[in-house]
Amino acid sequence: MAQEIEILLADDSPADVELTVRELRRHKLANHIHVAEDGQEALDFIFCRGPFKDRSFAQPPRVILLDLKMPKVDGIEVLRAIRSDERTRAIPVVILTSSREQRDVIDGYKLGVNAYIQKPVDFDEFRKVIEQIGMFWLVVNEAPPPGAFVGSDQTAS
Amino acid sequence: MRNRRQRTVGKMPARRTQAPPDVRQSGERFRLLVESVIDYAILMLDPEGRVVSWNAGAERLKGYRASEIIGQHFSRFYPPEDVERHKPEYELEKAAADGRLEDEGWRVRKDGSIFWANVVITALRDESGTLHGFGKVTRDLTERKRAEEEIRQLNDDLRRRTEELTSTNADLEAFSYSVAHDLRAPLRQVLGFSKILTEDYGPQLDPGARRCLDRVQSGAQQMGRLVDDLLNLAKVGRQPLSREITSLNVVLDAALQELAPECSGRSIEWHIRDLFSTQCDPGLMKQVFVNLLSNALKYTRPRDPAVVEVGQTTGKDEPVVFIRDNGVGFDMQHAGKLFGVFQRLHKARDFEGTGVGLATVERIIRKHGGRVWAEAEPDRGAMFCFTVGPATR
Repeated sequence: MAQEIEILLADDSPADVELTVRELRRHKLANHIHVAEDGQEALDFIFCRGPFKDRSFAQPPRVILLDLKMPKVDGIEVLRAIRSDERTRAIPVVILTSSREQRDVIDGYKLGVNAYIQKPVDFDEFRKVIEQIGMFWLVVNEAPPPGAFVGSDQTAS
Repeated sequence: MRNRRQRTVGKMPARRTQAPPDVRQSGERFRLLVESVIDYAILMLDPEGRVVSWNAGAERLKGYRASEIIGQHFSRFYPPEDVERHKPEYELEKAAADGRLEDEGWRVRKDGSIFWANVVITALRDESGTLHGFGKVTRDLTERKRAEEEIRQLNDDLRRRTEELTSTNADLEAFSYSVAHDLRAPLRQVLGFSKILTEDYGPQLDPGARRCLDRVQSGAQQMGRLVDDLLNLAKVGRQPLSREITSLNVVLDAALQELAPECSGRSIEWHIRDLFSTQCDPGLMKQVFVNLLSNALKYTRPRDPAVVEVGQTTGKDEPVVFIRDNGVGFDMQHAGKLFGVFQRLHKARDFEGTGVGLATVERIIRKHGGRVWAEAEPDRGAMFCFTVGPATR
């Protein structure tokens, strides 16, 4: 069985990705991380298609860290797709972005994001935030059990 | 009056000619009065709408002499399209039915020119109710109409220009917001990687290289503060005021609490007097106090003790809040630059800052419809004053 991916990091900035992964690694939280460089790749990964057709919906990431401003498909669109499909709806999604635009925060929460975090400019704070995200979603939080990913019509029968 | 009573008594028209001399005289005076009025066209029409009498005002207004118009139908005073729509006939019918009709509209003079008229047509009936004709009083309101048009035009222009300005303003604010916002990501990278370099490779670097890295770090940090301050300034411009009755004492306390870290370890004498309550946005007002007080704290740093005074005075119409310090002050010659964005009156080496704080204060106060100004002398302290609206109880 392939290694279970724990974090899907969708971010088009290689520098931000490096800083984030580096920090997660420092706290031994980045053993199973996949980086998607744009929204399209993130969707392919999440919906097990294209280069990821061998992945299974039964093994969703523990958390998706989602940047908003991404080429091709932006983060809000990715979030909308995740939340409109029974197979992916329960995956915890954290928006991790430079934007604190009111519009984005509202859209994110309306679409059911689990957390909205602005990347701090100050590097020490940025580190703290990344560590907290990793600790919370991979260690503290109880992940959704398999039953949470079955379509509601199936659970009813 | 007398004339009319005379008529009610008499049944035969012949009686009228035998009226006493004073009655005849008063009738004559009345006719002279009507005929000599020049500001109003006063005329009589027979029941079919033909002109029966014509005064000086009518001649002046419409251009016809009595001799050429009497006996003519009054529809010639209307523009052709009104005549086509049978407006003159309709107005007479309406006046006959209701007793009176008032109308405003274009009317035509003898020379074909038009004027904007207010017209009152009154049905004239005798005691038995028989219609004898109509009285018609016309006023020339062209000037008023033109003034109204002009005002409407000016209003339209003003509205259009306000709309343009509002949208330009919104564009500018959106622009500064997104610029400030987009600057954050590269900054985080400069700060992050230079920090990693220091941490991971510090021991291998010679002191000169480490000093360069420190410069990179402090430059990027200063830029980070600038970006945050600019974002804040843009936000102040964008967000609408949410005014409520607010005690400035409460706002001041909150600001002082926020500044507590800046005060620690310093000897500061506070003189804080009672402030008033007013209609304002409490969040933004707190920012005004924080910015002004943190300036007072900053520029009194060489003083021991620092003295900061907050109080109110009565201004011309509204109470004035003042914040006075015994700090290094500034030369009033440069006071004009005080509230501009990025304007600083002190060297960064002496006093750190981004030059956005007072610009933010000014924008908040201006949004409230208040004024902010400062008085100072080099080395003798500074006093900042602002108004924010009338006091409420």
